Amino acid sequence: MRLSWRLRETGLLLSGGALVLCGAAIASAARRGELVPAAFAPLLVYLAAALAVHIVLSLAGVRGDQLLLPIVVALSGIGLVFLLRLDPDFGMRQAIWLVLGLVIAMATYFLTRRIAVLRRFKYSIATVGLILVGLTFLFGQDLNGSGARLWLGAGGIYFQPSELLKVLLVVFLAAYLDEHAVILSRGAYRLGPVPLPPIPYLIPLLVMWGLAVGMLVIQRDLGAALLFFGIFVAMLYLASGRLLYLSVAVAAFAAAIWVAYRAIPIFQNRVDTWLNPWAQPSGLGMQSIQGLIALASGGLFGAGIGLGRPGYVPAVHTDFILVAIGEEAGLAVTLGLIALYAVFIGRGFRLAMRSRSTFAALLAAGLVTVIGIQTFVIIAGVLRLLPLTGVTLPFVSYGGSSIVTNSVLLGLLLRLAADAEGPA
Amino acid sequence: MITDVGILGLRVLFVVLLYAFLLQIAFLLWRDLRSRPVVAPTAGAAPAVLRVVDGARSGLKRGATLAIGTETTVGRAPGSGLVLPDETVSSRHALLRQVDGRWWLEDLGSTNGTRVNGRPLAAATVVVPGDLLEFGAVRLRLERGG
Repeated sequence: MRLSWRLRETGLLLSGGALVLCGAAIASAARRGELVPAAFAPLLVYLAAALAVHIVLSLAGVRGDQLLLPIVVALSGIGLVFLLRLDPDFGMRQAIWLVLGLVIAMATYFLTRRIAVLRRFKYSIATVGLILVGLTFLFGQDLNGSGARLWLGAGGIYFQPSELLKVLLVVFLAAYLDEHAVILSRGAYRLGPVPLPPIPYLIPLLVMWGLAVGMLVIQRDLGAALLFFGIFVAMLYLASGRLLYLSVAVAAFAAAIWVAYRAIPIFQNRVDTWLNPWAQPSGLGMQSIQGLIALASGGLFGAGIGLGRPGYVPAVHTDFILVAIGEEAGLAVTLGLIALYAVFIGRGFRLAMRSRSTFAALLAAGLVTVIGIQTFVIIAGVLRLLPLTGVTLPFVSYGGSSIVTNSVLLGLLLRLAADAEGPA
Repeated sequence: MITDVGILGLRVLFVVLLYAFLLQIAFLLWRDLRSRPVVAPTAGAAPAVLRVVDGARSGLKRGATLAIGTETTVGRAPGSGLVLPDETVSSRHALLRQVDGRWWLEDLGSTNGTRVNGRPLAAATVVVPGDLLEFGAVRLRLERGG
């Protein structure tokens, strides 16, 4: 039997774990003047769970990418350090979600033994996603008073279906585009001697996109709409390699934005706030302004974890968590986090290039595109490069739906990575 | 009790650990690049044809030569790049294409499967001249063209 222990993963998990524990030590020392065991307990539980996942993967002889898991653990661990410091209550819940997330990632990995099965059930997957969003439209609840009814649930447990829809959409698009990639990239198919544009092949795609975006605009969840459109365009380009589709789609979206700006007041407010948050410094512009002030006060090395005042920023534990990190740990650390995202996304594209089928390649590239676009949209929103839209910072922000979704995504990537390495 | 100096030390350590983690990743990426032999793309296209070994009921004669493009769909459908009018061939059966001078064969979810030298195809696979490609009951051999 060959030795197949995931040694690189071991090393990265150990140094990532040390990093996370050092962050917890700073928070504990700064807030209480000493190292309190309680400050470390949730982190140790999470790191132990991550180590258990690593051991399971190694013992099962899983080959494939060893960077994905440690990067996710480092990002989530740093997020957890800040959540515990911002609000121990949220922190504890996050720790439970993160451990659950690792279980979900493993379940996803071991249940998708044959990834091609996902391809066969593409329409079922798309239908499930749309039913979820439809249910939200009918029975959705507005938990954070943002005016968007995004949550489904009862009895204290709530879920945001648009989160899960991202992954379902990527699976559907990968399967669908795989089936039609040749025709799409050729740009025309032939009916006898007459070349026709591939419109019949694009219609289901446009319907899918229209439904998803329409529902989300009705629900006022613009962050997700932007994300969905980005996924759609990116995957269409990946499958077809044609800039024409890209430019037509971007032009269509620009037109949609113009209409939305004219027609939807909440969207108009967002854009106006983006252009000039100081018009309403204590109203709509407050979150943006407080975020910028916090980031600026952090400087290069920050105030120290536990020594800043990130509590002034609304939604600092979810969408604005980067602000808390920037204020207390500084630009040095936020840039480091962005580098981690870049490596994660790069590994996904590398995986896509090494995959053995078009479906696997599209799926791998699509999944990391989700992470890439989402990270960009929220960081750009916080920095006022783009209008602010409410999406979470993947792996770092507080939120059960987000963690569950990203765990499924991680599980799928690990499966795709193993498939790309293993015997055909 | 931890002094301010102690906290400062921990903060420095935190940044150092983060960048050590990143360096470790960078080192692994570098080793990855070094260790993997880069496949040199074969210069120019390698033209190939398919020779009919067993036409089944498609009406193709044994020994006949079939031309293929750099991206050819194989199927029963009239629009296919290579039309095999046999009932065991699915309308969109398989895809044969050239990437960096190599021929790749991929099954497109056909009913009766695609086989290379008798082995069923699970994923896209490199095929070389001399390989026996089976689409349902139709058997073709990949040969160097030119």
